Amino acid sequence: MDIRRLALSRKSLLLSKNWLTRKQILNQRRKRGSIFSVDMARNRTSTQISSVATYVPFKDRRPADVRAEEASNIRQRFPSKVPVIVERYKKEKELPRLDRVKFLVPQELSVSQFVVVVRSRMMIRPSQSLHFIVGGKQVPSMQMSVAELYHRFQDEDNFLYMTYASTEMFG
Amino acid sequence: MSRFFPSSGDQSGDINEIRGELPDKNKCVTLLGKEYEELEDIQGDFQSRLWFTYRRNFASIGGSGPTSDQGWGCMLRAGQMLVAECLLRQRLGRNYVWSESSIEDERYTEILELFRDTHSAELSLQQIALTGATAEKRAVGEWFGPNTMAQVLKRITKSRSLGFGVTVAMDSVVSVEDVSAEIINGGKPTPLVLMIPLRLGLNSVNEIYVNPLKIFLASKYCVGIMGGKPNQAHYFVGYQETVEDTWLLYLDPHTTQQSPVSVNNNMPFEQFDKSLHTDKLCWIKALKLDPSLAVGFFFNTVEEFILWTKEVRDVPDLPFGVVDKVSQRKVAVSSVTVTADSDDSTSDYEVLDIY
Repeated sequence: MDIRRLALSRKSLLLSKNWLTRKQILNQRRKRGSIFSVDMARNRTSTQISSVATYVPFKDRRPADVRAEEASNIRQRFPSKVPVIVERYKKEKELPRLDRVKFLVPQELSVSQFVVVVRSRMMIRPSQSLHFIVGGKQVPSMQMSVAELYHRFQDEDNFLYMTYASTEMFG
Repeated sequence: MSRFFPSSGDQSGDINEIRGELPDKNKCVTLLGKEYEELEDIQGDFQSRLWFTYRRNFASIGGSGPTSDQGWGCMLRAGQMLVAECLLRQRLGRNYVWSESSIEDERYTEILELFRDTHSAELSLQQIALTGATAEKRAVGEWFGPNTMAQVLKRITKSRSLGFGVTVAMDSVVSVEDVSAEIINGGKPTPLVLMIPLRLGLNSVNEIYVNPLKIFLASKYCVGIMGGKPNQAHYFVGYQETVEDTWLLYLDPHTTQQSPVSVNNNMPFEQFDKSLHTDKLCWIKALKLDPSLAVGFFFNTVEEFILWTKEVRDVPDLPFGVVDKVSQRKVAVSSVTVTADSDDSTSDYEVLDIY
């Protein structure tokens, strides 16, 4: 191969290096997007996040049998109420964390009414989105009573778990 | 048969996206409430939608901001596609088919003018980005979510100067009373776009919601879905059911075109119009969708809206609620805290009571 051709192929190699692969672009974007939203979340919620640096999910705090015992005790003390654990999705950055995650909810309350109560516990704009997932997978039916929801989705430890999140951002 | 090109059957497990053709040539396609069997008809209708993409070389947003939306504007473009669909629906009807002579129709060119990349155009990227900054606290250049976009459209259309309003159903609840009141609009009835932001799972779409998504796209009131795959927004308009999967049809804003009003030279109108249409069908498996999305419905009258509520109320696993009145949702609660019999101080309960 003559030198000119070699130089040419080096040049084209250099050129091609300047072209980012789709994956690289995605990674860059992802980075930028996350930096943005983390910064924004910090600015917006610094007063609300308070001292909670690392949050330990309720389920990770104590073993299942201890939780089950607590649930049955509290159900005996409050037979007309349902024990609900409301926690923030681990990847959520826009919405604040709740100060208190354990609720005893009147069983006749509808899910949509309960959602209003939870929303009022957060200092968020009315236009900010707040979505719930029950049992880790499903959107709770809003017309259902909390008792019905409990009946359908209660965990093995006899608590009902609801996770909340806003909507993801796209670039 | 060449061994370098295995039949698609061998690979089908790995393919999550298809471009430029149909997932299954022998199955019908549903596109915004209409059903098609012939590829030509599908492409004709698909191409009639307005396709907004990233643009470069427009005047700096707000005077000192970006001159291109590449890398950040895809949800804003998806929002433009949805609101453009509303305008087409209202002014030209669902059966309008785009052709090169469409630009001779003033009703059509007026719609296009609303989307030029200038600060003065009502639905321009500039307007959307700046409204997002003031109303939704998303700085210019920051990514939008489907809810952000819906909120911005609501604000931009507030004066009803476009001939319709936008309402956003928050917390996955549609209030019949509220939406009806928006259409009645204090005695001056105007058509309304109902946007419903949804989250169909935490990490991924729960498969039970694929069927509701199909039912939405098959509704004659549907004006599409703003959603995407993780990090990339798309505008969804249809679906096809194959033996193994449900595929969603979308328009993809991830192509960067020259702005029609670039700093150096303005694009001829004919060329601008052509840059707003594509016949390249894009498909993604429904289960590969990002769970965050917003679905839009367009109602001319309260009657249409009521008919729609009757349609959706019976949908199994409907991912949102329909309530008669918002007052049904309000509840006065008192709360006290009780400590569970445990040493753990974080174990206090908040006890809610209705009174």
